[in-house]
Parts: sequence; structure tokens; C-alpha cells
Amino acid sequence: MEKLKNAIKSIWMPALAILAAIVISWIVLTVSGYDAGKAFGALWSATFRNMKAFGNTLNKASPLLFTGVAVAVSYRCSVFNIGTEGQFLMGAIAAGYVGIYCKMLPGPVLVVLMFVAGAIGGAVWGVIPGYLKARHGVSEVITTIMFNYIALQFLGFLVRGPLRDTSQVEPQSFKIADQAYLHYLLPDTRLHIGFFLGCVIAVVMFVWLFRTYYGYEVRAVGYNATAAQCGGVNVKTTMVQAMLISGGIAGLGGAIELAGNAHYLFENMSPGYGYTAIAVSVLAGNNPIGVIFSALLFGFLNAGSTAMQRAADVSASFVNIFQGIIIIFVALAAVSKMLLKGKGKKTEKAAKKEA
Amino acid sequence: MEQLSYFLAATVRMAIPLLIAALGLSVAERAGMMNIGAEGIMLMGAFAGYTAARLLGSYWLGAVVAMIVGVLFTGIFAVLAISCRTQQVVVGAAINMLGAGVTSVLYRKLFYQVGTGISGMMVESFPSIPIPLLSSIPVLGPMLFNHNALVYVGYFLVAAVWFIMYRTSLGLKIIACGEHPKAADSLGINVIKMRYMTTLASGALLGLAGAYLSIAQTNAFGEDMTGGKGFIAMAVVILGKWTPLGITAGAVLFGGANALQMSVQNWGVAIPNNIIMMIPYVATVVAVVAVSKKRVGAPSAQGVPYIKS
Repeated sequence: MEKLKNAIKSIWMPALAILAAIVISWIVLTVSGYDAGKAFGALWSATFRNMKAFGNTLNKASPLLFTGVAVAVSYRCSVFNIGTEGQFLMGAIAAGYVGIYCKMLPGPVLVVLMFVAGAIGGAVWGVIPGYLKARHGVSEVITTIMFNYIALQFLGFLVRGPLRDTSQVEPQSFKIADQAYLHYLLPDTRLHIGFFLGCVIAVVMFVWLFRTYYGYEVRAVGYNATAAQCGGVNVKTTMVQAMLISGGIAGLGGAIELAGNAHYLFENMSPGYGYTAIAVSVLAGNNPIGVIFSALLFGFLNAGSTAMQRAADVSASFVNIFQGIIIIFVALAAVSKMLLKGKGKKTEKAAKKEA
Repeated sequence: MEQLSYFLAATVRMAIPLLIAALGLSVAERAGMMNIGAEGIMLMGAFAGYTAARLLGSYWLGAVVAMIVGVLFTGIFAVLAISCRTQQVVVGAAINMLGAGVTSVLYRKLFYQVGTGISGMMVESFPSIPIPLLSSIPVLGPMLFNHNALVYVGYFLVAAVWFIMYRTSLGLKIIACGEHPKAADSLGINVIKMRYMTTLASGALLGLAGAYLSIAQTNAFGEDMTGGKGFIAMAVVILGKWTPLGITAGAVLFGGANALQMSVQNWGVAIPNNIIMMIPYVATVVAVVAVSKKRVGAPSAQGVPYIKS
């Protein structure tokens, strides 16, 4: 019963934020002379039109699920990993090399190898900023963002240079081996296993964060690094570990996107999955299980944005505004909750519960 | 020689938007703010500047409108971060998304013509104004004194910020708010007011820096045309250790990296474009790490909301 109560409590906040975002964007659209009803109608039917569309939305949610969980893990440790975009791309690149050059391997082995390579690629890209923060006190906000741009340029270099498939007009890499393509799960859809693997990862990370000793340390550092240090937690190592895992998950997401959807590398592989991930994680209260649902919501928005543009001529980046409003309301709700709870004793209690 | 002169002048031109943005950010950070929404605010400035210049027919009005829009847009961040005490990094991220979304939607709405596909109409932008006598000095002249008016505004801002921070009591108050807000408060300084003031002022400069991109450096707006300059400006602040002169040096370093990237392209050196494009970003990481070893100057209470008890 207590658990149910808590669950309801944790749901009303994001629900209200989403509702507020819908109302505000409805008003904004109407005021600026768009047909809001048509726009939202197109948004809705882009996912719920038929089974194929629904599968497509699950596929769109898959990369967000991985990057979202990655962000959640790092934020729990008070490391603001804004770099899941770059980690996602580096994961895709590493997996791409395996998928393109290890053609002789049988399918399942190749796929697993690609996933491992992707996770390693992302982990490397995450652990460097993590190390720089822990060891040298360099703001991870700056380094992870710079790493995003470096990864993007690196990808651009690869698909225009060493990996370029010259038979194509647009710069893109060779295709990965056929046997590495992820199977479509349902007839008439392109739904692949990515989203479900993401759910597994989300549950695993939830258990890791909230039910294991290491996860406890991560959250302790996130809640109060000084106190954790006094309590015998190695804060620096914990931060580096959190970034290692965070980057690894984002990189795995990149590998799955490559094997399941893109099948070759190209510059716009990620239309900002790593940046949207911040909204995904914040909406979920940085809870990996919650991320599953908010990734679905944002996948739904992404899937519908182009339909919205076609039907009502609203720019596809309207979704950005929607996301921004959601984050602001969630942030506001989090604060108001804190204020409602009051200060003094109750905060201490909350602190214990949090840790 | 001519190439060197071109390179140096380009360095200054590329450095100015970073300089203006970083000066603004540094003042707000000194008062204890951490605004990663700088990127989105600059983008709004770039769009507002272009729109106003195009509709009102004056680049000066464009710059002014960009500053006003910068202040208003930063106001959202200020209210949420200072009064509502939300997490500054989270709200900053939201501001970036709003900036990207709003500019793109409005640009499409206002200027996109279905069918023709022509959208990037150019506007008249700030012309170069060579300063008499000074601009004829060899090397230094073309490097420093043959630019558009906003470059000179940038020079002036360095002096202005330096003066305010180190020669007025206002500067001391700002620094106190970022170092030890409680102590500042007990001395009768209104911490909340100081933080609002500096954050909104930084918004004006971010807006101006954005306008520089659309109506001084180029003469059109492009979606996401800031391309990370807001984030680089934040790095410049760290690199410059929060001092106006340090920030100037940092901005010149990045301007130089950008100019090098352009020059190398002109020289026809056989380095892939994408690799050259990495230079500013790699330089940022290297520079931030190099500075961190003797990290001084970071306001102690940066990013921590102040709660008056």
C-alpha cells in the first residue's frame, strides 16, 4: 500500500508537467496562427495509426531509452553528463568498424561483438571527462559538450574519408554485414529488439542503483559528496565509475541504433538523442524505470514531429519547445515539493530516504 | 605577410562574439550563477537581431532588439534559478531547447516561403569602419582597427567590465555574492537583487553576441548558427579565470583556433575539413584541463541557489 502511494505521488508531478506543456503549446500554436488541433492530431496518428507506426515509435524511443538511462545514472552521482550525444556516436562508430570489417563472423557473434564494441566506445568517451572531473576538477559540463562536437566531427571525417561508401552520393559509410542486421520482431513492422533491450538495461540499472552497495555509494556521492567522503566512500573513483557506466550505456545505444535501424554510419545519425536524453531523464526524476516511460513519450514526440510539419506546417523543432517547457515544469514541481515538505526535521528524513 | 595579416584580423573577428558572451557570463558567474543556457540565449539574439534588422531596416536596431530579447529570455532562467531555486544546469538545458525550438519555428513561420525554398535572405550588416590613423599602423592596424562597430563595442566592454569589477563597490558586492552569499547578506547586500541584475545584464551581452553572428560576422540567420559558441564562451570564462583580461586572452585563443581553421582551408593544406573543425573543441578541452591544475578564481557559491533564512 505504501509503495502504491509513493508510486502515485511520483507520477502526478511529471503528469502535470506534460499536461502543462500540452496546454501551453496549444495556446502558443493557436496564437501564432497554426491549427493546433490538426497539429496534435497528426502527432497522435503518427504513432497510433497502425501497427507499423507503433513499431516505428518504439524504435524511435530506443536510442532515447539508452541515452536517458545513461544520463540518469550520471545525474544520480551529481555528474552532469551532457555528453551522451558524443558517447552514443562513438559507440556507433566502434560498432560500425566491427560490423563493416568483421564480415566473416556468424550473425549472433557479430552482433554481440558490435554491442561490446559500442559499449566500450561510449565508455571511453564518457570516462575521460569523468576522470578529468574527479582528478582535476574540470567541469564535466564543458568537457562533455566539447566531446560531443569532437565525436560529431570525427564521425564526419570517417564517413567522408576512410569509411566512405563512394557508390553513394551523400557521405555515408559502407553498410555493416547483412548478418548483423537486427531482426524485425513483428511482420509488417521494422520493430527491432532495441527498445526491449533498453528496458532490460533500465531495470538492471535500477536494481544496481537502489539495491546494491555500489549503487548506494553512487547515490551517496550524488546527494552529498563531502558526507560520502567522510563515510568512507571513494568519491573520485565512484564518479569515474558512474561516467564509465553512463558512457557505456549510451554507446550501446549507438551500436543498437546502427545494427537495428541505420545499418550504416552517417553524420545525422543522432538528431540530438543525447540532448533530448536530459529531458527524458529529468522528466523521469532520474529513475531508470521512469526513463522507460519518458523515453516512450519523447519517442512519440519525435515520431510525430515530421508528421506535424507536413500536416500543419509547424516546424519539426516545435518538439524542442515542448521538451523545454516540460523540463521547466518538472524542475519547478521538484522545488515546490521540497518547499511543501518544509524545512528542519522533515528534510533530514527526506535526506535519509534519498540516500 | 598578407596571409598573416588576414589571419590576425580573422582571429579578432572570430574572438569578439566569444568575448562579449564570456564577459557577460563572467559577471553573472561571479555573482554565483551558472547559466548553461547561454547557447540558447545567443541563438535567440542571433535570430532577434536578424529579424529586427530585416524588418526595421537597421542593423543598429537589430543589435538593440537582440539585447532586449536576450534580457527577456534570460529572465525566464533568472526567475526559475534565483527565485524558484530550481537546478541551474537543468533549467539551462531547458533554455537551450527553447532557444533552438523558438528560433526554428519562428524563422520558418516568418521567412520560409513554401515552394521557392528561399529562406536565407540577406540583410545589410555592420560595415567595417577603419579608424583613422590607427588603422594604418602596419600589422596592428588591420588586426585591431579595421572592423565593424561591434568589435569596438567589444573592446569597450572589456574596459567597462574591468572597471566595474575592480574599481567600484558594485563589483565588490557582486563578487561577495558569489563567494559567500551569507556574509554578503549580513553586510546588507541584497544577494537576490545582485544575482538578478548580473544575470539579466549577461543576457543583454549574450543577445548582442548572438546578433554579432547574424548581422555583423555574416548577414543572415541560419538554424542553430551558434554551433556551440555559447558553450565555448563558458569555457573561455573558466580559461580566463573570471577576469576580463584573462577572458580576452581566452577569447583570442579560440578566435585564433577558428581563424586557423579558416586559413588552413584557404591555404589548401590537405587536412580533412572535419579534422580542422575539431581544433577549437580540442583546444577548449586542453585549455580547461591546463588551467584547472592551478584552478583559482572560481566563485565558491557558483550554481548554488541562495536561500535567505
